[in-house]
Amino acid sequence: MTFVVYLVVYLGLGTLVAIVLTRRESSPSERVTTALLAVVAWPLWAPIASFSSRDPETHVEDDLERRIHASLDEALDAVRGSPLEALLTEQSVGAIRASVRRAAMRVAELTRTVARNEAETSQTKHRIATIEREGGGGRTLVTARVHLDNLAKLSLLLANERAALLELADLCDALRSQLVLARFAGSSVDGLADLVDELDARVEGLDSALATVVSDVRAA
Amino acid sequence: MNRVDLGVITTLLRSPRTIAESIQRGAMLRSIAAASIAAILLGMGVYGGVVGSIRGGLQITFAASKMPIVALVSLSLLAPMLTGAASAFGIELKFARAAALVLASTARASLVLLALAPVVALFATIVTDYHDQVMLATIGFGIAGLSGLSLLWHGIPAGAHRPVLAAFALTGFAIVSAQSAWVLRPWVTRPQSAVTFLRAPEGNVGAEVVRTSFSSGGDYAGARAVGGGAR
Repeated sequence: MTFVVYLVVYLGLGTLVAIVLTRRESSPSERVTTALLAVVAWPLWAPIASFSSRDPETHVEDDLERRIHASLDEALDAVRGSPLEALLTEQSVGAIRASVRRAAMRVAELTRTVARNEAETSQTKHRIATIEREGGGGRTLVTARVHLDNLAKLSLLLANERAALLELADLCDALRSQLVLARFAGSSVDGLADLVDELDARVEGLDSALATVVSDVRAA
Repeated sequence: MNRVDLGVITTLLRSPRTIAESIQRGAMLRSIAAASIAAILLGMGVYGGVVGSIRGGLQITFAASKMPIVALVSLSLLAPMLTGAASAFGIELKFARAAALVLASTARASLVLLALAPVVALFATIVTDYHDQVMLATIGFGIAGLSGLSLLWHGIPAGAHRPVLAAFALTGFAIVSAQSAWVLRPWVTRPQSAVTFLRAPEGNVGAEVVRTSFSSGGDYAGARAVGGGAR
């Protein structure tokens, strides 16, 4: 076989792999990237795309997001055509979904930033120890400490954001089960309005927390 | 997330150990692989172009397009070899992680090649002898290879068999990439040879190494006795 034949066979197989893999991707940009990577390097990319999970650091957020969307879907189904429909509208659920999406994306970005900073953190600690051991100090030491503080703050922010998303997912689960109960019980259930109010407050808090995260990350 | 993450590329250069640890944990494999493939295409492509520029003309395009192919073909063969060898030594190294590891190691080497490309291009104009030019291009590969080696080392799970597995990976890559490069020659192209995308299949890289060693030492009779063709 000539080089051209090999190339055509390789690219043909790559196209088939690309078709299979792109179906799993959710966004158009990811589909394009996956298709290009699959055509160019399918023997290496296909096993990674197929058998490795999405970034494990960020799949926690993906799972939480999916869980929240599923709970909201079920909650909407439960109130549809019932007197409780005014309590949870498509519009309000849409707003919650948008906030959750933004939160998950920011947390994923923050996760990658923190992961990249891991090595830098240990290097900075080492540098501070060296400066202190050698009796140095002054501006260099202050700068290194500020840098280390910022890196630690980023990790803390990430932990807080993850916790907020987890609480929201738990709240959506509780709302869903309460609405389903109300539907089958045929009457209103105590505390339902409180749950919806709390959900609204949490979503609002999520957005304001995100604004803080963004400004803190930029400052760091 | 599949998009090419520039942060991963920066980390590949600044903190290869972080990338190696991520691969060992199975974290961010997709991001690492996507960024690595992009880095290989860019770094190998540019360095290939520089190697081709020694002859100039169409050879620049030919070498630039073939060099990433050599890397990706070699890695496609190396990843399953590495997984199999690890399994034989009782080391757990899943295929996806092995693929990400060899990709990231080569990506780091490719980024170093990208950085060396202007230096090699400059020296190639100063050094006029064909064999010296070939040696110059090879030194660039040697330096880049060393930079990739550190990532490969840290990416292999620690243990008594780590040195053996690293040596196996290095030897395997050297043999496979050398033969791939031989099949896809010419690269530099001798001044008296015609510029062509591919030469007709002949011999193997082992025989060529022996022949070139005679030729570079001025023993052209010895080189003819071994046979083989030009690069």
